[in-house]
Amino acid sequence: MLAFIARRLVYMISTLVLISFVGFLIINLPPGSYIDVFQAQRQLQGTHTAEAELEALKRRYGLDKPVPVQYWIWVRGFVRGDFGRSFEFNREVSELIWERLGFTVAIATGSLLFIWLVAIPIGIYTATHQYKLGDNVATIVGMAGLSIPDFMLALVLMVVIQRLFGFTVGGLFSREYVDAPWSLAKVIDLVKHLWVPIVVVGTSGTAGLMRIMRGNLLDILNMQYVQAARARGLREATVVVKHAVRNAIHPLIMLLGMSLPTIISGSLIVSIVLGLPTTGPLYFNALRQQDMYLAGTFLMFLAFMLVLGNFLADILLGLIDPRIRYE
Amino acid sequence: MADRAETILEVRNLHTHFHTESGVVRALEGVDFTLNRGQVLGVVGESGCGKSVTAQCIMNMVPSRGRIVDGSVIYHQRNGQGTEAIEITALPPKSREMRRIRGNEIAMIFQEPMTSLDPLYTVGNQLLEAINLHQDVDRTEARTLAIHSLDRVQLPEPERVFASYPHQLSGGQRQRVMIAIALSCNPTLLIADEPTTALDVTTQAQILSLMRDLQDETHMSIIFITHDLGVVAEMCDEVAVMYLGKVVEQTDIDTTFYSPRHPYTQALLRSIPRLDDDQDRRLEVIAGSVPDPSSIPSGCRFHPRCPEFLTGVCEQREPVLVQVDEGHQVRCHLYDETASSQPGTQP
Repeated sequence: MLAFIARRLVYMISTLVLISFVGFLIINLPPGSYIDVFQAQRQLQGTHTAEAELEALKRRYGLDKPVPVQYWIWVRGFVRGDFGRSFEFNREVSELIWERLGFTVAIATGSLLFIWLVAIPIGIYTATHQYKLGDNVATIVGMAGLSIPDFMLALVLMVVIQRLFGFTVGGLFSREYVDAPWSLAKVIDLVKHLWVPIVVVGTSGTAGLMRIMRGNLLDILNMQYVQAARARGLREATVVVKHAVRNAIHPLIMLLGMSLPTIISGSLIVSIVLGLPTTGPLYFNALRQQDMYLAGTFLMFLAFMLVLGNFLADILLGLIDPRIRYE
Repeated sequence: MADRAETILEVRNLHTHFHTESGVVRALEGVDFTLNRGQVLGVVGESGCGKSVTAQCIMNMVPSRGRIVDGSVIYHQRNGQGTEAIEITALPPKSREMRRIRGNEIAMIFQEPMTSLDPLYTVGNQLLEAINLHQDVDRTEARTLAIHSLDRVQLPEPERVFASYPHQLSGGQRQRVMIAIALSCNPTLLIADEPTTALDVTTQAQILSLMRDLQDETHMSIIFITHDLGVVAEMCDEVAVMYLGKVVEQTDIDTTFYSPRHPYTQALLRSIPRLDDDQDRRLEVIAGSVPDPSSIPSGCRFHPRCPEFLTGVCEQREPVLVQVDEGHQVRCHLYDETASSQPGTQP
């Protein structure tokens, strides 16, 4: 097991190195750099930027050096936790991400919990009651949830809540609390706003996961060992939970591992629509503005979460399934 | 055996249908047989004739899309003084009463030993499941019983097998484990659904001889489902031959092999390759193939393939089960005086 973990760690690091390289390259592929974006913005505002000032900026951010050197400067800082500076905000990348990470993780873990707590029981119910009324209803609702785009659902919810209850649910706080210090009232206000993104992000995820759970479980319920367990005289609930569900959960664990990046990607479109202070919109803007250290760092974080998620899922599977041996 | 004539299981006119997207599949359309206490009944027939569904009906665990539409399965349970008749088909499948019978009174072993143990639990865990469910024993007693039942099916190092996961055992070992689980609660009836089909020939022989030894030792009744007439010859006292959801003939083992009456049984026996055959003789086959259960022939279901086909009778009227001898039933117009004027002319 230890040898397995060590080997996997080596793979993880080499994967991440490769991703950092390719990622950086791709971010640098579009012609121009942040300096051009900066200049264009200045021009729009009617100010002229002196050639010397641009040169100074270039030097300051190392943009005058060739791409491999830029890459090296950026990567070198990782070990110290230095991910470079954002051009646009003129602040440390790590600071920028850090201040948005709290809400992002809160919303993402909230919706992940929501998805699992709702989808798994419904999936089990529909599989054990195949083609009965409950299954059909869940299937129709699930299909609807799967087909409605989440930004659409977000917009509709915002309008409906505004019209019916008369308060806005965009953002995470009501206007009066945004800059207020933390207090009980502020927390209550946060919870009032938080459920909307959780439900919106959760709905499509729930529908998908529910279908996967149902499909897997139906396959397993047809296995002979389930019949054999029933033939021993076990209670139906024991047969389903102990023998069927545990065997059907494997693909879901892999899926959970793969969904780890969403914890920090902050469901981009929903966040933009709802105006949430998560990392999603930040990442999106960084890409548009060619704010390359910010964008690159995001990319690295996402890659890291994905690799880590897969690693954890593999270990978890090994604990659950005795057939998986790490030799 | 003293109680030779005492009935343990009666299957009467059993009809089981499956509702699928492409219509109703009539899997069983009249299954009748009786099993006496201490006897081994072979249920034979081609693939898809309803052998396994019959087993599921006896266990009252027909898959959710299937329904027993007619007929009954009656189990005669022994209690203190005499026997009590329990109509299994009248019990709700998930009821406590049914679960008490399953695994305790009637146990079952399955076709695929490779997939009939849950891969995530040890052999011991699954064995104890059955023991703790049906027997009033404490932890150490249960463990002793479990090890003993593994020992009884001649598994070497039962302690090691007890702690093993299914994937660490071979197919033959797994089938022994299944037999151990089935017998751990001393059932009076064992249903063996093609228990050796998936095993190689030597393992098959070992499992068969084990089952015979265990039957000698416990005098339990066995329903042995198979399509292998060689296995039937080795194992069974009685044989019920099935064709397309119906029992077409039931009689004792000797009559089945030496003077079968139903043309289908006769054809089945002719199609067994024999060692003393002339090398150049082609193996006899039954003409055609088993019709799809959703398009069943009219009249006698076997008539399109039957060498004794009586025009005007067989394709029009369904034959009924007639008693041709003591303990010998045949479902064929040849032996039904009311249906045809021509008596059977078979040797």
